[in-house]
This record gives sequence, structure tokens and C-alpha cells, in this order.
Amino acid sequence: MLSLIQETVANSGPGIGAGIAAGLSAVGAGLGIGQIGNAAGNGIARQPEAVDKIRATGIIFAALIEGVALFGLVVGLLLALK
Amino acid sequence: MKPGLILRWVIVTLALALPLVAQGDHGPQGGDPGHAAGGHAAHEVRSTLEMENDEFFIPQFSHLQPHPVIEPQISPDPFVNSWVAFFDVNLYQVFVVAGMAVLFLMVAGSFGGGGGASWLVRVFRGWCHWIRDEVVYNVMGEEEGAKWAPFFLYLFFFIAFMNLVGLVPGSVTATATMFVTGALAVVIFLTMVVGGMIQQGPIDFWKNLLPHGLPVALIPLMALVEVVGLLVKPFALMVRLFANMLAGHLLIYSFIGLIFVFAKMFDLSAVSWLTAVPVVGMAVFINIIEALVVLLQAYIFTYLSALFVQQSLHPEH
Repeated sequence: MLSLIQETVANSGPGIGAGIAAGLSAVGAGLGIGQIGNAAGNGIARQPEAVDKIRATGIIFAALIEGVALFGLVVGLLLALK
Repeated sequence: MKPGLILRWVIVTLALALPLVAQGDHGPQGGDPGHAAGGHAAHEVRSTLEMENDEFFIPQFSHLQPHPVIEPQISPDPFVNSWVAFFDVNLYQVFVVAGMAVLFLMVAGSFGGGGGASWLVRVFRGWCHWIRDEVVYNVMGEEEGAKWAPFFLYLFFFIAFMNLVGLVPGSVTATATMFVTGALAVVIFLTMVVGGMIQQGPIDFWKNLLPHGLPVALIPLMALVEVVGLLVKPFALMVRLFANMLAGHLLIYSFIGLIFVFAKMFDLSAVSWLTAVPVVGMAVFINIIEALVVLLQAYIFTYLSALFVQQSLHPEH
């Protein structure tokens, strides 16, 4: 089984690296944005009148995380289109 | 949602894929008007079934690269040299600036007259107020924000319009190339550094990057960290906008490309026609998401650059 995986990886060129880069960055972004959603949902449930401020801040934080995740995507594209 | 609205989205998404359908007789340089004629003669016309997967995916992605309209000529002979370069990306930037000039002259003119403005002008007046109040005044305070509001208003609408024009089928998204967003990020970086040096004094700006009362042994390390932090902020702005715009278009293109993959896989049987239905549905879904994302990214770029400029004008520590 392991040798099969090794053989596949060896034969697949940079494409598999690109796939792993994009996939892992998506995992990281999912974890981070999940945390934001959790905190924002809690905050809105406790203080419904603060929903506008929480939404704006949540979008900003999500954008920060998404930016880092997209670094992974760009690296993947560079690998795939090399 | 109304059925008519959904139908319009389907038509727009399918029209976005037109370059792909037409690329069979263009070759990989399909967007390049200078080479299109030569490419037409060199490439024989082949049906989709005869192509490799790469052949209908990669040329499509090449539409995301800027193609030169006027190519610069650089040779050893100085009389032949022309450094004028004009890319299709620049063309769409010029379109956007021209459209903004027309629109916002109307908007600016309506502030003097009072009442009687058309609905378009009223929408943009409200939008300008929203950006000013929620982004610029929120970050910078009312007194200083009044000075900076025109700059950030221009930044927001320039980016938002470039992104929106990219959703029109057959157009080029200027912000989906790293060069355009990089230039915007350089402007923000210079605003941060030069503005900070004017506000705090040229020496004090660099001194204030470090927290006060730092042990002497830590100063070289912290100086390095802070300077890298100063550079990473505009770099992240650049990559975030560029990658978001690129990713949306890549997704739409990839979903549309799946139609041809399935057509090859099932040999143009009835099943391959059926698979086109969910694929187009997903492309339309991504297109709707994209319509949200283009405005969201313009907002985020403006908000974060306002935050960064404010931080370098008035350091907290």
C-alpha cells in the first residue's frame, strides 16, 4: 500500500503538491473561520443589539485568515502551472 | 428568487465561458490580437473530443493573464526602442476610471443642487456616505478622517468597479493580476511610510516602530520583526485581492470546463448532456457568490488599508 502511494506520488509530478497545498490551506482556513463563526454566534446570542459591529469585525477577521489561506492557493497555482 | 433572475445568471455564466468554446481555432494565445491571425493558420480546427484535457483548461486560464495590446520593444539599437507598453488590463482600468469620472461628476454635482437626483445618483450618494462613516470615520476618527475620506472613497470604488467589470462576460478582471493589485499595495505602502514620516518626523517614525523601554539586547531582533511586519501588510493586501479575484474566475472556468471533460468521458452520449445541467448550476452558484465577493473584497481592502495607514500615522506604543 505504502509503495503504491510512493509510486503514485513519484509519477504524478508537481500536480499532487499543488493539490496538497490547496487542500491543507483550505483545512486551515476552515478551522480559523469556524472559530470566528463560533465566537460571533455566541456574541450575537448574548448581545443581539451589537450584531452590526460583530458582523463587521467578523468579516475583517475572516478576511485576514482567508488571505493566509489564499497564499497556499497561490503557491499551489505556481506549482501546477510551472 | 424569481425565475427570470436565475435565467439571467445562467445566461451570464454561460457567456463567461464563451472564450472556452471559441478557443478551438485560437490556440493558446487566444487573447493576443497580434498573434491571433498567425495562430489561426498554424492550429488546425479540432473538435473537443480530439483534445487533451490540458488543451481546453490551460488556454482558458491564460485568459487571466494580461496580454499586451502595444508591446514594448527593447533592443540594443536605441532608435528602435519603445518603452510604451499597454496591456488589456490597462485598457479596462482606463474604462473604469472613465466610467467613475462620468458617474461621480454627476454624484458630486448633485450635492450642490439639492433634491431631484436620479435613483443612480442617490444610490451612490448613500454608498459614499456609508464608506465614509463606516470605514474612514470608524477607523480614523471624524477630524482626521475628513482629510483621508476622498482617498479611500476613490480606492474603494476603483477596486469595486474593476472587480465588477470583471464579471461582465468577455471582459478582463484587472484586479485578478498581481501587477494591478501590487501597484495598489505599493501606493498603500508609500502612504504608510511617507505619511508616517510627515506626521511624526522622519527619524521618529522609524524610532516609534519599536516599543518604548525595550531592553537593548532585543532591539536588533525587534527592529527586524517590525520592518518585516511593515512590508508584510501591503504584501498581504496584494495577495488577498489578487487571489480572491483569481480563485473565483478559476472556479467558474473549471466548472464550465467540466462540461467538456464529461463530454469526452461519455463520448457525447445522452449522459454527457445530462451532466452539463448540475455543472452549469454550480457555475451559476459560484457566479452569485462572486458577485458578493467582489464588493466584499473592495470593502476589506479599503478597511484594512485605512487601518494600516492609521496605525502608521499614530503608533499606539
